[in-house]
Amino acid sequence: MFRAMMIAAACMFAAACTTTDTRLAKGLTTPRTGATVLLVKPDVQLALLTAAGLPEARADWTQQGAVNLESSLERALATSSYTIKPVNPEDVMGGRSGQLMRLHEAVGQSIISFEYGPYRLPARAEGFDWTLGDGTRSLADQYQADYALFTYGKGTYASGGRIATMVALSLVGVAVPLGSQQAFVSLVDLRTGQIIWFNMAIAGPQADMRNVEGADSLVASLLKDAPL
Amino acid sequence: MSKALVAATLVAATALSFGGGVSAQERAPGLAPSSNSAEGGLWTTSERAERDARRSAELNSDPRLNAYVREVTCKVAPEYCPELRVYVMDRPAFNASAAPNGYIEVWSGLLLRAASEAELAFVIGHEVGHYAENHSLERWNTTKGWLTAAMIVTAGVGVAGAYYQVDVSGLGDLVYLTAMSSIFSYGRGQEAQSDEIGFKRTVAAGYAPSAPARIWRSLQAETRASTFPSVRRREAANSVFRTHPLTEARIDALDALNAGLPQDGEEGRDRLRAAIRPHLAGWLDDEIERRDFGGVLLIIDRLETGGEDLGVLEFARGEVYRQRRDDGDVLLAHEAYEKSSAYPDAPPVVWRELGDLEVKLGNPSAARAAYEKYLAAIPSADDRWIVEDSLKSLSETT
Repeated sequence: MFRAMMIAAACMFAAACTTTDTRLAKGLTTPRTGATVLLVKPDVQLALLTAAGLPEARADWTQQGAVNLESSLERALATSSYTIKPVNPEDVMGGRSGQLMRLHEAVGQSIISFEYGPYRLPARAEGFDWTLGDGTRSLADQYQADYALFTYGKGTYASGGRIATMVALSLVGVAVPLGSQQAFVSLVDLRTGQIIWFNMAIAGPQADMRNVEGADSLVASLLKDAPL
Repeated sequence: MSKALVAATLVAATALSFGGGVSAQERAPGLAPSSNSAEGGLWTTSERAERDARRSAELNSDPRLNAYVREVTCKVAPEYCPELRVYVMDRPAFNASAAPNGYIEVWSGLLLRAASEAELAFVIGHEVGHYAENHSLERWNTTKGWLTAAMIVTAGVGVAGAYYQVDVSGLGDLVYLTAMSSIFSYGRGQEAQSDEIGFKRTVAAGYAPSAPARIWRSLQAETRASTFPSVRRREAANSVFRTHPLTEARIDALDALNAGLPQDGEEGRDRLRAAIRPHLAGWLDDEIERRDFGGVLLIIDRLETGGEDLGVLEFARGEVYRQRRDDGDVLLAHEAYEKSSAYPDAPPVVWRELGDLEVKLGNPSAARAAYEKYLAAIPSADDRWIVEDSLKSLSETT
């Protein structure tokens, strides 16, 4: 996390860029050519950062971000050797598949907290070792798929008032953070349940997922180190 | 402190003391916000919460119960009926909520505590009041406004302090606390307003006007009866940071609304009981698990007033005493289980519990009789082998 923040800080002074922080499971076998990847519809939450720093959810950005990320992912993966199957988690929330979607949501949040947050779980000090358990085989069978790719985007954008606050307070030497956006991606081996790859990208100014080009740029950074 | 700084602080305090009254205009039915507004954002957040509720394992799956609670909701909010979605959640605490997008949660803990349909209607009417008055949005805007004002004032005071070289760090906390307590007192205004709306809607739907004040009194009594000192103190505490204060003031306000009205409205006790009957045993189990035995005993007393469901209720009372394990609770539990077992709706496990207690009390023949009744009542019980083993050791010792 600290390293990512330093890189982010460096970026602000050098050329603006999107930074990534990737995790790869040990002893990984790269997906074979022709494997089928379930592309789970991205889960996105975008908000406006008010003058005093409260995030105010924005329905239009959230919607737009989800649509853009999904189509960017589809475009980026279309050129690969894999078969892509888009799936909307809302449609599979019943039964076993729904439970696995929720399990991934919980495990994904833990990964974000303990791999990218300030604290580490002592038992997970070495290597990247997270799994949903081999119960994911039921998803594999249901969709005739080998992998599932989950995406989660969140972030805030500074309002006019926030920018004015930043300018005003900088005059008296107080630094006010403006908004930032992050995207997380997770690749699950549906035969074993193992999360084989996880990546976080902090969006640069050119990677605004609210527009198509920005989403493409963000997805390109996000998938740069993918074992796909 | 210099005069100039005092003046600046006074200006700051004045700036902070602007406050909004609660509006009197209810929202028109069927309104949806634009997607680039703060309200649109609140709807998105609510939709996520609603999605989670729909997937939750705590969502009650009884279609008749859900339809019943929806029916009561539509009685107190006929104009909003088509746009409201009601979910009954199996959660053991007094609670209901209405989200800005029209999704309503009613917790089993509320259904267990409402003495009649009229009381339930009032609490739902109160929540509909929050919905109709856009309270979430008002609260959000108030919070935003106060925090911005506090930030500006803090910055101004900080600059003035630096200029006059005075330590103003304490003042910053004061400004922050002023803002926070304003936000919370604003919440209290909304609660009072929703009580009034809930009352009017309850009466307009033909329910008894005495029900609203009564359910708050019941909740107050339950708080006082709590096993936990912290819960009992909560009732007495009068902090600025309380939004749901069950103070006398709110009850008095409802009494005042009720005064002079004809006391001829409906209570609908039987309808509520019929709707929740299939869930009574399970919900009481959930309540007992919270281990607030004083509160649960009061709930059981209240449920027993009509003389119905005594097998289930006495069994629950026995469970409370068995798990509380205070002095004399073994005898109290035994008495409650005995009473329960005499009613046709007693759960068969009452015999196993009685058997265990008779062993403890040193009555092997009574224990044997109870265990045998248990095995006769549920021949395929999962714990049959345990009970059979107990029977065996009983026959060995006698």
